[in-house]
Amino acid sequence: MKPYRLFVGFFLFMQGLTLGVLPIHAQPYPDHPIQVVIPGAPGDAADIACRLLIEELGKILKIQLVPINKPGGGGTAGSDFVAKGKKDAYTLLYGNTSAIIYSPALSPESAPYDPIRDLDPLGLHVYFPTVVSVQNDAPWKNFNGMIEYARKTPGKLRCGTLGVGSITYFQLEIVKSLTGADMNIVPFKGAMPAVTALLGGHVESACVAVAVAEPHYKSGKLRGILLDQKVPDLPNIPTIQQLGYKRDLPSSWAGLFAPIGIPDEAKKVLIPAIERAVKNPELAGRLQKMWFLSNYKSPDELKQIVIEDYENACAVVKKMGVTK
Amino acid sequence: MGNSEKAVSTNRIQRFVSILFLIFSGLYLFLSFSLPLGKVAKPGPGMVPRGIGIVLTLLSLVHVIEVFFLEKGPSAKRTEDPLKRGDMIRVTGVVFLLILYMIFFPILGYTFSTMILVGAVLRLLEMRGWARIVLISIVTSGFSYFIFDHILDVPLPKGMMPF
Amino acid sequence: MEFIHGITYGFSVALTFNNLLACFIGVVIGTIVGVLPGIGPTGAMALLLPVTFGQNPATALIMLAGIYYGTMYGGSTTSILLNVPGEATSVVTCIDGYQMARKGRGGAALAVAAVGSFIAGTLGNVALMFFAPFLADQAIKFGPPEYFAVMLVGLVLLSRIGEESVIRSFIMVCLGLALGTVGMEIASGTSRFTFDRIDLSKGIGLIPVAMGLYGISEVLMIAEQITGISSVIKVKLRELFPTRAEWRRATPAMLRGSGVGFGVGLIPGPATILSTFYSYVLEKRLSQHPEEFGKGAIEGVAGPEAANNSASVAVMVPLLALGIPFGAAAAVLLGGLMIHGVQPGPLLITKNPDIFWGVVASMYIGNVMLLVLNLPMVGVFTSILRIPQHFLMALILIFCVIGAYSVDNSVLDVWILIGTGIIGYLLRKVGFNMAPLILGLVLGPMMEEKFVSSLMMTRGNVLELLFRPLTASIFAFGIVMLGLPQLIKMIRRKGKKS
Repeated sequence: MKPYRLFVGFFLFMQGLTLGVLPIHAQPYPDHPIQVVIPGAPGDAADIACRLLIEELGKILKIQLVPINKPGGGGTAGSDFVAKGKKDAYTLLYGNTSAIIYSPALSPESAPYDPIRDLDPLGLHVYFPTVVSVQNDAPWKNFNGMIEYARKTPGKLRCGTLGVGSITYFQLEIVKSLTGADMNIVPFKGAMPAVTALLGGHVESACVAVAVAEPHYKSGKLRGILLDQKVPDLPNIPTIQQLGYKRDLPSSWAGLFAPIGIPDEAKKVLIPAIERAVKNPELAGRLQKMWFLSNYKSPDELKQIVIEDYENACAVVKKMGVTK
Repeated sequence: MGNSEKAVSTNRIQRFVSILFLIFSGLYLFLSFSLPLGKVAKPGPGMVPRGIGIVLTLLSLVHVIEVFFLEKGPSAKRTEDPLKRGDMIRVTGVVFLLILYMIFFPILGYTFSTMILVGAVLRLLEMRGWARIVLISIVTSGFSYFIFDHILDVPLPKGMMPF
Repeated sequence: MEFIHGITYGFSVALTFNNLLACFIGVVIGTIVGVLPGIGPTGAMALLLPVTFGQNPATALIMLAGIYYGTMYGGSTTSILLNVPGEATSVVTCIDGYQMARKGRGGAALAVAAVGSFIAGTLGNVALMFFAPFLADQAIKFGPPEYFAVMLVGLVLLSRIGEESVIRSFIMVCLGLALGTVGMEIASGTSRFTFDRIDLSKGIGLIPVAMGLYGISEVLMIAEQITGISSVIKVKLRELFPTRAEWRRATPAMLRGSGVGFGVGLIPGPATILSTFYSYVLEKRLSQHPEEFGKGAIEGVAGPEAANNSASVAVMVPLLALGIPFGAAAAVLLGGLMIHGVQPGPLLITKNPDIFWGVVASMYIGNVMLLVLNLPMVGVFTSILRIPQHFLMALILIFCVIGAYSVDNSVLDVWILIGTGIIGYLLRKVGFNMAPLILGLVLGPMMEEKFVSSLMMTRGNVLELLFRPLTASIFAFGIVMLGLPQLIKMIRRKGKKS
């Protein structure tokens, strides 16, 4: 008798404690903390950008947004978790191009979700510009010079980059096909090892995010020779279109997504809040100093971008035979 | 006499384990063959696993030979005492509970699975008094859930339950 | 002269109220995080990043750094008392630390760990202060082939940790390597051994495996021996601290550990974990009583605990001097710097002297704080051992489960925890040692990455790789170290004959 009563008593006590979690009262969205899944490890570019964004977003929505890292599979683990998860608008995804576009395009078997059909874009946040760098005392004055060298010595020009599911790898493959230069693309596990290898002279060039390479420009050790998009504070580095090539390189971005099917009331609250947060000048300024370019795109625009990027990526994959 | 008894009973498990190793390495090697090897200039994902698989299989083979034919078990100071009947029941009991826990964890979520596990483990490890056991299970699982999920913002899985 | 100028400036920065408070908060959180299983310095720093947003960069970095080296202090607690490695870096401490606790010398082990950490942290800081830019420049000279060579040599040399049989230890190492191949391969984007499970694509995590092999298997071992009467080792207060003999043995180990740890910490990768392995093996080789190792040799605690602290300081060298993080925790620190608008890179020391010198100075202060915090807590912590075993086992289970889950918010990690626990128990009954497996799991992925990068760099020209001066010397060093014990034995035998 006594143990039974104790059991019931505590059970009710626990219920009381967790009342805040149960959706008993119909509060307007959002009424409890929102989880934002980051499909990458802490300290990554996407991780930092996301944490800064959700801090601002939290102030606007007046509720806490909790970042959760779910690294794995080039971003597929985290994205799948959100795509297949609860559709109550309390679990969102801060998706970057690896997770949404390139990993699914490259290894569809590792991404059991459809980036276009299963995920609902809520707004684009930032672009992560990438740059090809060389050592400052390298013999090539600019990008064309380096390509000349590569054309003359096939296979000898090494360019370090992130692993195969990453956008930089795709960018390099496109450069290879546009210029006809046979570069030796050497994958590394992350941007840092690639830059470190370049600093030590173990590779001749590296294609990584501007954020990672730029500090070394200031110190005079490295020099940037090609950007994937125009960057306001780096006017001297051209983009590939500026050099006369026909197509531009795809860019790396990140934005907020939700699984398809979240309630409309939630969307009505989230989308304008996200727009406000992204356009916040203080936040944008902070991010810009880190070479993350804030550039709000509405959900419809983002959806277009996703569709286009994905189609282009699949085409590149097919053409290069880049699949495993 | 006591010593040789110890060595024999351990040896049976020894042999079993060495065969397990061999089977595992064989499986690993087999699976690694389905991965592309690539070339030396461009190693594929299968290169390193195949290397590991080959080394592992060879080592397991040598180990099996050691254990079966050379009777080279681990030195006496390494082996623990042989298991008595009561001990075996307790250990298998805990193992069984842990496996059940693994299965129900995603369904019942953290709080309930842990509550049941703690209660069952305590009982199995011969704690006296149902009241105490139930109390401790509920309090520990509820308390830890509260601290981690609410205070530290480390969400714990809820499975299909509300908390 | 510059150093005196710099360090006095640094202290002037670090000794402001704000920064002292930040340092204190950082080290306290670090210690707690270290004690708690699962969530490690990386996760904790990431969690606390938002807290630093409103502050100036030096303060933020002081706090984050405090968390980082603080966890190296706390991690030993559960390893020693419960055989549950609170952090990956404390796995080696379990080996002898736990045995010491079982013999009633747990307090001594904890004290030695704390003091060793303090000495190592301080000495490492001195090295950082004087040699940061120079060391960083040397570190750059290591390319993928060199790193591969270092890791391979390390793997072979360290795999004998605590085990007499070569075959057995190598089997465990290979098992660890094999486990490390599970997941998505970075160079090709292929998923290996994941059986179409997306949650396996991130691979098999180190923390769940370490906690399973040591913690859960220990629970099973105790379940086997439990008698219903709580077996408690009563520890008198005076016995809490190490005896003079123990200090005499531990102190040289601490100093050696500091040195080894700092060296290993300069190499990219899982520096802090590796440093503990190196220190342990070194201590065992140099010891007058090698047979004690694995049964409670105090050097086996003093060395590794010191090593992981100086390694954590060494990790800051390339970070502060070059802006290159050599590990996940350093990457978060870097992120923290960037968020505050600081340009990490070679110019950091000159452009932001307040950050560099401020952090260096705060690390001295932080280490003192940690020593003051941890030593008195030794008594409190050892009282954990007085909890009845059934209850303790249940608590350990909860502890490990939360820890495993919280690393990556993954249920799979809990499954891995339990699975490796059961397997670990079986293997222990048969006399296998877990440490080489952990070594293989830790080194495997990085080794493969460097191996593949090296081959791709030279388009398969293996000879070119072997003939790189640094690579060749590393391999030569490794061969010498391998042969050294045999050589010494031969020389001794010849000496005896004559």
